[in-house]
Amino acid sequence: MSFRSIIFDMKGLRSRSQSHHRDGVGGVVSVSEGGGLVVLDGLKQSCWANMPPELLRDVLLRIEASEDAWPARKHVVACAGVCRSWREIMKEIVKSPQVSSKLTFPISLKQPGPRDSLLQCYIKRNRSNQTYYLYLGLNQASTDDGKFLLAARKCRRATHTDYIISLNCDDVSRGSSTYIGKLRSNFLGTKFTIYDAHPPLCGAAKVTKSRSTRLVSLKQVSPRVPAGNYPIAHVSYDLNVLGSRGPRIMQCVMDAIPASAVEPGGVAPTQTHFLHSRIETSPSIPFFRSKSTRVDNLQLVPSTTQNEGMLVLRNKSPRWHEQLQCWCLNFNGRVTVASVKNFQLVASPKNGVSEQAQENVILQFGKVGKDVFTMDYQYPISAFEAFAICLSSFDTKIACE
Amino acid sequence: MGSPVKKIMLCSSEKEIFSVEEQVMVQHSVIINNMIEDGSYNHEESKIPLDCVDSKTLKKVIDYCTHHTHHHNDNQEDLEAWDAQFLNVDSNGLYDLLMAANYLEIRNLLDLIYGTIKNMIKGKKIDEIRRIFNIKDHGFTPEEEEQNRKEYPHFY
Repeated sequence: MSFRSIIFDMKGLRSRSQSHHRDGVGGVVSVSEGGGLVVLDGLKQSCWANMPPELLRDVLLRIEASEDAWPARKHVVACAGVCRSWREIMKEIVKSPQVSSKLTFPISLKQPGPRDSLLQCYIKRNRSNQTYYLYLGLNQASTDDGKFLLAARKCRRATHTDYIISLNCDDVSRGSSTYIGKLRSNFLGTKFTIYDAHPPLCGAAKVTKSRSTRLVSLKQVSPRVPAGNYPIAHVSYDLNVLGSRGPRIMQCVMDAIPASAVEPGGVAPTQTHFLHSRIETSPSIPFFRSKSTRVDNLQLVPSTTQNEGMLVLRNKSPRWHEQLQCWCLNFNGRVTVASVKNFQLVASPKNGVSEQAQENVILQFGKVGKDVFTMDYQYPISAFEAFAICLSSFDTKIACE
Repeated sequence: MGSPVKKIMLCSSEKEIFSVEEQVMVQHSVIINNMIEDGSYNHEESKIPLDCVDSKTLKKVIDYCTHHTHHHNDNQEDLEAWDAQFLNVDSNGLYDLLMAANYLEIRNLLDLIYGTIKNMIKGKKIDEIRRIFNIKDHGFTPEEEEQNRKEYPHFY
């Protein structure tokens, strides 16, 4: 048939002229062969759900690129909920905050923040229900109309205090499916452990092994696996020589982040491929745990092989301001109220972090109002880790009473 | 060119033949342009079979290309108004147009359709988007769907 041969010619031409849309064309042809002229209603109904991936990708790419900021960015998340094929493509398109400096899906709260810039968030404290809310700041000037990110509720126990952290502002409980981790303090409120409800990279392999691929693919958008307790960081506070009147000394050991991550070209583990990791096998960064840590772990975790030192953060020491008669740190206008809770974290020299890398503020937290605090964080820690570290500052008892 | 306008034949999936000014299609469709250029289209005998484009859609595509060829000097506003009217179709019609524009590689029509889709989605809840695009089978298991609704209560 001459028509056929022309079609083949067309295909040949196309692959020579440009190859970008070739797969899309293949898809179209197969759709027409399946449906042809007499397109069945059933097939027709879901044409948008079953469209050629290349085309769908082009459509969703535009949608993703059109809105950078919340709340308009909402429709990117909405598209991922429309149907499975849209979700698959959308989650490929949306890049991690490290690359894009944007928060989109809940998983991005567990991914390292942007490199070279602080993501500006704020925390609101509700004293009546002992709950803390983390928002993404939408504009520099005010803390209004932020995008809700995480909530944490304080639960006092007999021997310790827990802060249950959830993706859902209305349901902050350990049993909830939106529970993503917690912060636990010791009795004195001087040492804290941050637990992730989901296993860090290499642990993920085991948990997900038996799950169907359908379920696995969902997880890349919403980080949900059976809740567990995986310690990922340890925070400790010490008095300084001046006792409770002076600034605190703070240290965070990030179990899952190698110290090398803060050096140029360094890599921090990213849970984007969280459950993919079983396919990609042997993650380049293993789960770090070293016995050299000076923090007393609240939880006994068997120490695994120690490959490389983990990242340790320390607070920048404030300097004493003679005129103001107080301790000062430069928060670049992000903190307005003096408080013992205010801090800036940088990489400590431990485990060979270079002097240059020690300059970079990775997390800063400080008071701006009675129950409002700013929280700015960046790579290599995640919003979840940053939030948990800040919560520990709320809870620390040594200096504030 | 004083000679009679050159025509080419396009054949829809229903085997209906459409005779179109060659220039109109060459200008807009990369694929047809390529065919004409390398001589694989024979003006005496050939028809270009478009097995995946039905007559209704093909007619619209030809309308689009014709209008944009003859009115490309119109002011932007008029053209945009015409485009808006042109794409005032239901989501199935839009899908057919998207497929045809992609198949024939009509870049400006593709861009127009992409923009329209974006506007159809903006600010909508998931249930609305599904309704607009007639997506009845979303492909999630009931458990996944329930979980999604729990996790993103404000999106439905």
